[in-house]
Amino acid sequence: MSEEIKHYTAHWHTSPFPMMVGFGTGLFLPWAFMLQFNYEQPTAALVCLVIGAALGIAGGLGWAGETIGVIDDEGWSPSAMFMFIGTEIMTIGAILAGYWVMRLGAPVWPPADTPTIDASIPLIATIILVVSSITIGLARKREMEGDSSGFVKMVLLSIVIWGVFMVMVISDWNHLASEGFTIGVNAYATALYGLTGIHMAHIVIGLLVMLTCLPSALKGRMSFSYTRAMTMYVHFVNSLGLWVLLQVYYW
Amino acid sequence: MGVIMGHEPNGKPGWPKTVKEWLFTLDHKVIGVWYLIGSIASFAVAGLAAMLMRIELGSIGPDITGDGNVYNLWLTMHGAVMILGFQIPALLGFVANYAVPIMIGAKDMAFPRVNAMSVWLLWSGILLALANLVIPDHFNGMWTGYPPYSTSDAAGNTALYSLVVIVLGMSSVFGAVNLACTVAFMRCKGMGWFQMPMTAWCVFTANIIQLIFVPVLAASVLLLSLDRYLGFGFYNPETGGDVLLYQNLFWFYSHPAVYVILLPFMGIIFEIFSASAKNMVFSYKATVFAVLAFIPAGGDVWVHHAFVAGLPDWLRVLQSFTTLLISLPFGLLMLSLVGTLYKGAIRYSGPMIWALGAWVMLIFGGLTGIPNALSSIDYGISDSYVVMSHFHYVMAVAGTMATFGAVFYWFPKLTGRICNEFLTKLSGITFFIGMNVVMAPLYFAGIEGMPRRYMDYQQFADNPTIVNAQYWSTIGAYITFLAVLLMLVAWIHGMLKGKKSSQNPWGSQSLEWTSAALIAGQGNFPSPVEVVEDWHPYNYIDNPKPTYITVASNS
Repeated sequence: MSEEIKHYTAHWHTSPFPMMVGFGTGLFLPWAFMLQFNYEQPTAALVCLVIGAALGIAGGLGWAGETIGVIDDEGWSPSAMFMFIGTEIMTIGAILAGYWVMRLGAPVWPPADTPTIDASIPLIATIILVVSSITIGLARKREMEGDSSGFVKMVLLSIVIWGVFMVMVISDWNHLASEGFTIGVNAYATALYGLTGIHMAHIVIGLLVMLTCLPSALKGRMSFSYTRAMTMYVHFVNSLGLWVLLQVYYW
Repeated sequence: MGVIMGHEPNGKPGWPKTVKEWLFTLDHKVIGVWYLIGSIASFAVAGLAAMLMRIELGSIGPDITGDGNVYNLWLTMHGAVMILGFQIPALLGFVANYAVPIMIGAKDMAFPRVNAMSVWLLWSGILLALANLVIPDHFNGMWTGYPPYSTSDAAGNTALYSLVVIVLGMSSVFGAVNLACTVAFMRCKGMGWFQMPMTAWCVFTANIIQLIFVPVLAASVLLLSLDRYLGFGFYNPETGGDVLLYQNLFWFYSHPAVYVILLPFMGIIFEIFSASAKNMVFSYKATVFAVLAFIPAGGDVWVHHAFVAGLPDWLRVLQSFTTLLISLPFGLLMLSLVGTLYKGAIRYSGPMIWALGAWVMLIFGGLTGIPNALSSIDYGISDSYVVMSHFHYVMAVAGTMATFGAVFYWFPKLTGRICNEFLTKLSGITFFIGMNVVMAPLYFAGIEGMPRRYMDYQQFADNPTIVNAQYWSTIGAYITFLAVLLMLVAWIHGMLKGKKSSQNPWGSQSLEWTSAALIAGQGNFPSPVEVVEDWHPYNYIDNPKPTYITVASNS
């Protein structure tokens, strides 16, 4: 053991934020789901949802606050995001496999009790969605130029685009449901709501990822690594949107 | 030198002293200990469930309960908690976190905060799983959770099952991404891929398997809850769904999960064998490729879990072959272990006894897998005690013996002390005997037709093979229980009164023993480590010593 180096650090590095995110999303959100759907206790479910969301969001913001632009950027996040997107593709792949099993095994498709599905609204929504790939690319460019206010503007624009997409998809769901095409009607309904729903879940996660970096960016702190990983995720979710559109509405 | 992800070298040797430093830790070793505590607690709960089942099965008729629902709760808790709460967290949590970074000369994991989040996700999952013991509508659909039963009200709280799997899956995925980045980017200066310890290789490969397959499991159980609560119909034939879809998706992960557990414990056996025999891992590079071969070979065999589910003949034949193919890399690993011991100056230390036990059990378990792989034979023994016994030899016994061997092996690094050698060996030998007495008779009961998962066997009352096998198996469970108690005594005694350990008690060449303080502090090494081209973790002859890179101190 080297004897010369005696400059030990005085204390261990700690952070409460990973624990907040861990218990918020791993414990309280599951209880919110169980209380709502298994025990039909909406008030208790709401309490758990609020606690879980608060812990998750506060933890995420605190986490970003003590890392983005504060500690050295090793540049490993894009590699991690690459692997994470790989796992996401496997998740979607499993659900797609479910869709294919149902569809290829069905005697007629779409099943007889399916109303005429208007694919124009999802098409327009997806075209709007894909524009965010350009805006998030510009955000990355601003980050590389060190322009934090330009970065914030472009991230906000991407968030707005995704918000518009969400509103359009939800209104389309409502329209379909009003025609009696609800989740449990037939295999096509299961596939349509399942695939567009899982895409919407990714939109929500992506929105959180984009929102998380804003407080730091407003203070002029940005991270090459985080921005690159975030950009990759946005491109992935947009590609997923296109793929879901083609699979569900144009096949 | 800059601060790397909030971590610095030069941490004073020893463990954190304050509660805050333990709870809000970002250090991989402390997080590893949290994984260990969580997994040992899970082992206790799942082990007690096994004891209750074994006592119930000891004789015909009710012994503890006559209520099948209660028995199903034990069955579900035993399977789910043992695999998801004990084995995977012990190996991919404790071993991956505590040992791997320090073995490859890294300061920490690549993403310390993600690492901390992963461990609290694991604890969330364990707390959720334990809730199953107290909620009125406990989930009783076994660890497999097959629909249509699990999507019916009779199964209890399906959401709990889905969410436990999803939360633990999230923990696993974040942990796997983190470890893969750590191994890829944070190996010490000079350490090439083929200078990594086998444990690092095995854990890395297991994590790649996790990354590919865990998401499919998470999706499959998510669809269960969507079907049950939101009216989706993925597994509902009435609306065009398919029940067998679940079986396929579930086993697509859950068979590779065997290798997720098998590979890290093989890595541990390599570590202990090589250090005990002072021999290079036999044919190191070929062994590494055999480990990597588990990724493709393990990923295309899941259909053998559905041999009796009405598959076309060509698929059953094909999957018999792909399943048998697993024997190739597995056989290579076993041969390499033999070669590692061959002509070695073997020291039969405490951990070595546990590792040897694991290895022998692995041979028993591996050999009994071959007939199971043949669909013609599997038709006769599917869902019988034969399959259950085979599975337990590999996973439950070999895996557990290697895992506890790892705890004994790294115990000096965890506590600065060595466990009493006699107690370590006695507990290992008792465990080995106990588990053989539990599992070996059950093969014979299985061949006689005893189905798994039954709480009673009145219909076999006139079959002495089955009745005697059940009796002896329960005796074996008591012996195993005694072994676990002995092991706990060895740990507690070791922690409190154990002999002070030297820096490198097993004479290993791996960096955690040669270059980090016995109880390493924050940052693991007093200064970044460098190794040269000729250095190897298993080179016991004139191994060039790792050196420290002198850096300007941050303080």
